Amino acid sequence: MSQMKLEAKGLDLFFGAKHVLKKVSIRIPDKQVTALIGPSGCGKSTLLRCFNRMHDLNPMAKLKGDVLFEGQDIHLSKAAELRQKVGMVFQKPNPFPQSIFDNVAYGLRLSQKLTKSELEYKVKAALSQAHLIDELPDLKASAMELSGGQQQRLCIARAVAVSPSVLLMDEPCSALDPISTRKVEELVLQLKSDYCVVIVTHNMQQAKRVSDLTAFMYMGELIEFSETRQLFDKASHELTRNYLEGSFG
Amino acid sequence: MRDRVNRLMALIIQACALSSVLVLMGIFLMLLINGAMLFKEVSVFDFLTGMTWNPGAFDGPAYGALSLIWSTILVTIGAMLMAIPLGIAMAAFMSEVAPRFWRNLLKPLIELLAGIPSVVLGFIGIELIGPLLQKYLGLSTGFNALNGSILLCLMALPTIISLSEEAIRAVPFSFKEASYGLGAGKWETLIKVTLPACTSGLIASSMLGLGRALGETMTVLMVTGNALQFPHGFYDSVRTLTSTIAIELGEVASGTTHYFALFAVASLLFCLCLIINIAAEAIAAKFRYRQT
Amino acid sequence: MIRPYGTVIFIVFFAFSGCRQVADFRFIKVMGSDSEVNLVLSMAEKYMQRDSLASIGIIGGGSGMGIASLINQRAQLANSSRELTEKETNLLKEKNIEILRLVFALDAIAFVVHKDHPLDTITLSQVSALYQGNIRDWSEISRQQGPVRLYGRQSNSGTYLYLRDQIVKAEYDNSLLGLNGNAQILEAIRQDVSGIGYVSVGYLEGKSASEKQIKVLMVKNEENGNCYSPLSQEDLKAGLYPVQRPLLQFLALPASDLALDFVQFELSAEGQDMIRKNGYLPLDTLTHQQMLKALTKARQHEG
Ligand SMILES: Nc1ncnc2c1ncn2[C@@H]1O[C@H](COP(=O)(O)OP(=O)(O)OP(=O)(O)O)[C@@H](O)[C@H]1O
Ligand SMILES: [Mg+2]
Repeated sequence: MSQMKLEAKGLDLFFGAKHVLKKVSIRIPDKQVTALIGPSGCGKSTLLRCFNRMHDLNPMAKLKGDVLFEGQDIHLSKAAELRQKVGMVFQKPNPFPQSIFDNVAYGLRLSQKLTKSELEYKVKAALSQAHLIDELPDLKASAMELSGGQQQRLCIARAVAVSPSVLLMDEPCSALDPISTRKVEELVLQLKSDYCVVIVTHNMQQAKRVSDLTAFMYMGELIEFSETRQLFDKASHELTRNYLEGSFG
Repeated sequence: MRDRVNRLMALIIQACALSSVLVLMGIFLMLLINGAMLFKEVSVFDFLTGMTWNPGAFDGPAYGALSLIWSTILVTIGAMLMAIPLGIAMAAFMSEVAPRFWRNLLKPLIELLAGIPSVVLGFIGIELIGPLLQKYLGLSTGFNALNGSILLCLMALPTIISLSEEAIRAVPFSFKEASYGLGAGKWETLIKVTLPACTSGLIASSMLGLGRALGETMTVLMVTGNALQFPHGFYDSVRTLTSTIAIELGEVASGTTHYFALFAVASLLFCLCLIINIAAEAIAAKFRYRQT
Repeated sequence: MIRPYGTVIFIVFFAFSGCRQVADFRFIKVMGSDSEVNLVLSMAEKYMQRDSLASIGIIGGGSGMGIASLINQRAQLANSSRELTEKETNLLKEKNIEILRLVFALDAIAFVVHKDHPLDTITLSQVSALYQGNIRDWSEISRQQGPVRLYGRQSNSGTYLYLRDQIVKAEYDNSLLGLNGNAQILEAIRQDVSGIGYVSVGYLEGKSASEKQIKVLMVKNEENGNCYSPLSQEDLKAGLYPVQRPLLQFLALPASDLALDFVQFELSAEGQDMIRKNGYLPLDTLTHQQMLKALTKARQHEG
């Protein structure tokens, strides 16, 4: 059994009295794209956020069970260190109200002591990885003036700039038009050669296009987890089949 | 029918807005016209650059406002140098760092500070701050610009803290989330993301605090000693524009040169406030990023 | 400290006057000198204990303020620690306001230093030199080293003008601190060994000087070499203490019954006794007679 990049074992999560994740166990391999699908409110975002301890910010959240990163319990290391290795891209583009350059440099400045030229090099590398560098002649311009699609790719560039080994993406295309969506999807496919990517999506076509593995969640439980083609063609679980049929409707 | 009601409402609202502008203009004009009367007898240059202000002097009146202007600036700058960093730090602490217990304790305390009448603060300045300054700075008296600055700082603080706190709270959670997601800690997020994201709000709150400080009379009057000399630093006694008006207006007969001189001082104060407001607006605009 | 206090008292009386609009309810407003405000206030309180329908509002603010409110007809009686200026006399004439000048007590001004200060006596020429800024270091006139810090009143105070015009006889040095009242000057001197200040003797009454940590200076007569203390009733009464002046009130005519009655009370044996207890000097017999006569005339003026 090869070591998994991310792993959850019998994970329970409560928001106050609300039981949101129920005994979720999942093993996510490296250098592959794993999609999380399921009806709204089933706990996809919540599960995703467990992997880089985002729930630490919410005093209401109570977590039980184990979450492992490279075989290590994530709660044993510092949250900040973990988050540098497990990056996240959010549903709504959320660049800082600063310049484009400062946005991408943010994580680098936090974790590494770089000279000016090294910093510039890394920022440009991240931006070109996100296919953004050609669209942005002026890196000193405010990030808030970019289009939604550009902003989202900027957020991806910001996340990959610190070279994490995992990229968590929570519906990264939900606010984007088809062309921008296509660009982000291409990006995801490229990233998978270096990263372990976990992506939450409501778009079944998207899951099919980009992911190698797909997990189906329902009411806080992980119902089924297998290779994408298998899950879409011959799902073993009744609930999965209903959901897929319904959504293809 | 409905259309008519709407139009009537619009008219009423316009009239209200217009009347407040008119009142403001009226005040400004009154100050300016009365103040201008001074310049029939004293040249503008002498008024703005004269070092001595002593309208009731033993050997003939002197109407040089420079020391008053400098006094006002000195006290206000001193107050702001203390109040702005302190106020923003307190606001940041309360909204981002402090556990709920501390927040619940500090918030009412700060509101209490805002409720202290300025005369009482002046009393504290005389009885407590003055002697402390005397003791720890080795000064012969506590009646100086520094004492005034400290009190004005105390008065500006509640405004600055509560408005800054509001500005900080208004920063979208998604910015902080993004920062944490990149491996930043509480402090890094606060200093590098949250505070820069609300700079224009922080400037606005500081300027409102400054406005309060500039216009405050009673406290300053009580603790700055009001000597007529030209102040050379925070340890000197100062006499501000507001104090001068407060001290002298009561005994001045209307229509005299002295009377017009006080109006000229008031116009000066008005202009000073105006300049600060315009500058604040310009600075804030520079920091304001368009939010999508 | 006195001005807001006075305002509060005034507001309280005013509120009362608002809710008791009885025909024989009477009210007057007295404004002016900060040095007189405590004395007049205590006399007004005593007076009002007798006459429950009378209400007397006392406000400080300085002599200039008092006279100005007489001119503007916002007060019926002005306390003043100085005579009218020419300008004020002209303004009164212009507005056709007739007034009666009353002397109801005598005041003396004491010079005070910190209790640890080596100086015990001072001459008037030294006072003048100090307040003009001609003496800047204490070593010039005493065993103490170090710069002199001058404490005084704000320019709207009668004492400020009286001292400048009668004793200093020149402009004050511009380092003079203009404080809000007598009590504040005492408080400042208590904490400052390098300071000198002036206060009405009324403010020294009741508190022994050492307890307040201040020293009241004796004033030395340069001609005969004798020293006189403002704390000695004999010196004051004999007119030997040189920094004395009359405490004045200006009454707008025609005056109301209440105003006349109140002034009468100030001149009565009981009133003069209170003046003595407050550390001021009661009137000598001659002045007293003159004042009573003037008051009788004022009553007829009204009738
Ligand atoms: N901060 C929170 N406090 C309390 N309840 C929460 C919180 N965040 C999410 N929940 C609840 O947890 C459940 C799962 O939420 P989650 O956001 O994980 O759903 P999701 O699968 O991502 O849905 P969607 O597809 O609509 O984004 C929902 O019922 C939601 O109401
Ligand atoms: Mg979600």
